Parts: sequence; C-alpha cells; structure tokens
Amino acid sequence: MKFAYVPLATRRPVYSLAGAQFRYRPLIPLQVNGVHESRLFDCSLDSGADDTLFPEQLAKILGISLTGPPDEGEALPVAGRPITYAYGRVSLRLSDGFEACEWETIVGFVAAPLVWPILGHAGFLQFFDVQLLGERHEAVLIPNASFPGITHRRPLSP
Amino acid sequence: MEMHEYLSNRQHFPAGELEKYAGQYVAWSPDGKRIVASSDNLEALDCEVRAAGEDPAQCVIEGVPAYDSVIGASDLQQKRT
Repeated sequence: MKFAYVPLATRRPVYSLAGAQFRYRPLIPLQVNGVHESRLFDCSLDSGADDTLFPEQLAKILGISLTGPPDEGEALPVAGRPITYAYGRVSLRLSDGFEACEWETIVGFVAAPLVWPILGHAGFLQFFDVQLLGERHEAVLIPNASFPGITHRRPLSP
Repeated sequence: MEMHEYLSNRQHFPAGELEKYAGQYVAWSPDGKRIVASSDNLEALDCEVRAAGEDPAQCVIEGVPAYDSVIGASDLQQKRT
C-alpha cells in the first residue's frame, strides 16, 4: 500500500528545510472499530514509538473497554512529564483504496491530547515492512509474515 | 467511502486553508474535498459532524498541529495561545 505524505503549511519558513513553507508528514488514514461504532483517523507513522496510541476520548466514543492498573502503559514524551495510558483491544483497517488490511490488536488510549494518533511498533509497525521514501514524499507499507489479520485486494479494472 | 478518492482529494486541499484550524481536530467530508466540522474535543466533533448531516464513521478525523514542528513520538498537543 502506498500513501503520499500530507503537506502541512508552516507559519514561518522552515530553516532546516531551506526555507520551505510546508512540512510533509507520513500520515495515513486508519479505521478503528469498536463494539458498535468505527472512526477513521489520520495517524502518524512513528518508528520512535513503542506502542500504538489513540486519544482516550476515542475509546469512549467506540465503546472500547480499557485496562486499569497494573496493566497500564507508561511513556515519557520528549521534555515532558511521564504519562500513563490504558490498553484496549480494537480492530483496525488500513486501506489505500486498492488493498486493505484488517486485524485485531491491542493499542493504548492516552488521556493527554494528541495531534495525531501514533502508529508505533506494538500493534502496528510490527506487522508491516515500511519504507519512508523521503524524496518522493511517500510511505510504502507491506504486511509481513507476522501480520495476524486478513488482506483484500481490489480487482483491477480491465 | 472511497479511500482512493479521499486520499487524492485530501492531497490537493489548500494547505493554507487548513492552517485556520491549528490546534483543533477537523473532520473531512468522505470525498476529502471539504472540512465538515472542527473542534478541539472529539466528542464535540462527533456532534458537529452529525449536525452537518454527515456520518461520523465516514469522515476522516485529522489533527492540525498548533506548532510548525512536532518532535517524534511526543505528539502531545498544546493549544496555541
């Protein structure tokens, strides 16, 4: 599956990008399925994150049961205070319109606000071989042998 | 929704227009051509999407960063003051 990076305008020219006024981000739309509801969220591919994290409010909307202590996660954001988060089991669906992957997994739900849900190793990256093509501004994801779900491929038009 | 259509249209949405929503979540129309609703609260966003006549399950939610740079996994957002 291929996903173009999303261009986001900056308020000031970015010095580290030779004055560019856009940052391109590897955001990909992911469907999160709860008990009765589902939502689609643009999520950030993040190889620096151990867990896959969503906003806690989403668990409430989707009716997802969350773990309590001691089965909580803990993380230290850069230059921030440690945060804890609960885990919940979800069904995820990823598609670029031509191919789709669906699987069940355990993700974290954090009370702290997130700009984008974080697609970290546990629950997401562990199941895909990922290429971030910097020049093309494109992310390529291929489900690997450990992928636990099902894949669909849309028939090509004649 | 047609994901291919959404991805194609979302890519061509004017980035400057999106900047108006810095620090909030936006909900995209299923075809990715327009923003249906915005809020800094997901439950309120759900209500706004329904009020706009759309199905929240068909609208991609995207956070619009309040700052020009986000560092790695620390995507913790602070509202622009």
